[in-house]
Amino acid sequence: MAGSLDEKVSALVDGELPHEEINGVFDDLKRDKAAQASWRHYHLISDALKNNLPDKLPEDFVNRVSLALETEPLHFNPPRRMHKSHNFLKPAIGFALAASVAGVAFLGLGWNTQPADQQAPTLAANVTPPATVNMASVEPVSYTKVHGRQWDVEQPAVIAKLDNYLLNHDQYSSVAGMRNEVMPQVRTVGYETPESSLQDPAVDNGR
Amino acid sequence: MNNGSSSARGAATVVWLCGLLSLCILCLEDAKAGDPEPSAEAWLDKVSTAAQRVNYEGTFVYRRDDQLATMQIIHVADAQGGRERLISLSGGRQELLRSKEGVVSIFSGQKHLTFNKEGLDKHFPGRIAGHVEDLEKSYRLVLAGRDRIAGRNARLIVVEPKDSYRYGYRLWVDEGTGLLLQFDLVNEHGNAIEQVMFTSVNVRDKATPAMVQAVTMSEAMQRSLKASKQETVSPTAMPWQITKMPNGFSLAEHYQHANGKQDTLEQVVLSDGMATVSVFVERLRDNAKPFEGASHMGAVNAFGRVVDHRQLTVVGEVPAATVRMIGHSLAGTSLDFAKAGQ
Repeated sequence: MAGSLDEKVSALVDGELPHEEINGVFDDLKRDKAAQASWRHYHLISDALKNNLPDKLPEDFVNRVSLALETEPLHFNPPRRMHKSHNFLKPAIGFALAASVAGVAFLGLGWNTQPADQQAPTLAANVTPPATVNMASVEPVSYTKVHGRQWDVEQPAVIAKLDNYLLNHDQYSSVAGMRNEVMPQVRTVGYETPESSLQDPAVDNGR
Repeated sequence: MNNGSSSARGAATVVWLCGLLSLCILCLEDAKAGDPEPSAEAWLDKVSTAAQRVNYEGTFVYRRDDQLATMQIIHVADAQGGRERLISLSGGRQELLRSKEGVVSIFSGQKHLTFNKEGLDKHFPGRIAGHVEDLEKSYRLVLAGRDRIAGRNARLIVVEPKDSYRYGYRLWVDEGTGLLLQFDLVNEHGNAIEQVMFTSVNVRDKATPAMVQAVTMSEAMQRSLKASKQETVSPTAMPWQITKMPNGFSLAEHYQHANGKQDTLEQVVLSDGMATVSVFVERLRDNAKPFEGASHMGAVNAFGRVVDHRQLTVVGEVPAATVRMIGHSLAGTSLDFAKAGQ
């Protein structure tokens, strides 16, 4: 199986890694801290998907896990036994989703929310992106606020224009319909006002 | 002694009977008050005046497509339709303060945008919104039973469109206060495409000092609102005409926003009493990318055309056919909007 180590770890967690590659990946996992992090996160995601997580985690859960991982030796099965161990390889519904969920979470972090400095720490924030994500498309500089659910057009300038129209539509039609009378401006607050509107001369940009 | 005790007994019986009688009368009055059942129209009337009567704070979720957002609301009632603060609890931090003077959006606790609406309302004799009888031109109002939302008893009102040029609505109205507890925007297949639902709400007889403080704009915000006063005006005429729109829609509002040093962005708001559609007209600058054709985001559809170096765009939470019809009908220089809907 071609692909990066991260991809292989994901496949391993999903039970989709060819037998002959498993030993090599475990060898890599012993050395590569980033791969170990991916391993943990993919398992956490698959546990979450399968509702295997407790309702409430202790506040210091993450710290305790991190500490344990730092201080405890890794308990990987000896490579020679791996082909017999079906614990890791047992296919399970939902497992195959783990990697794709990580991708969504990463994109969600990159595209839908505030810059990292305003971001509360979340599970998603720690997820290592799988290698299948095209990194060129998720460079930090290209993180554009498109309030997530963008218009189905491609040019950013047109998206900004439509966002601006929608903003004006929401703000200025608040007396027009009963819908707006009872639930005004919910759309604008629920989803961030586009950055472009800050430069919009139609509104006063207070400081 | 005997006589005395029997008359005492008689008096007690009379008192008891009187009590029973008044209880019966009370029961009868009660039955009278509860009958007839308020109509769907009456419930909608109650919804539209709730903003002036009910103080509340609560949390609700907003769903569009497969995205969810959580928000907190603090609403203080007054005769002008109330003052309120909306605070996003999920995603980016944003707050919004709203009162009759205008709207202030606050980003990350500092930057804010203001939308001055003072004095605009009274310029719209064409305003039709909020009048339930106008809704009935375009929708059927159906009382659809009882439900429970956020732990409160609610009446479900279904607002069914009479044609395919608008979406339907499901409204859950608080039985006690008329507060809207849940709102569904429903497409032609009966699926909710936009939803707002309270998960908890506290109704207060009187707004607490903390609530009043939360909905009060700072001096800086008020200054910004005042300063933005000239940015948007209500012109008496517009050099564009809407020659065709679905039945039931009519002109509700007309604004002219400043757009750069010389340009203006014209906005005309059409409404059928429930749905609103905005028509925007602005000069297409030399290097600007035009928007031509259709686009949508959640329940909102947009349609754009470029005519004579003008960008014409129709935006609204209505089906694509509606923005398309209105967009195609925009034409040349007439001042008469009154005839446009006919």
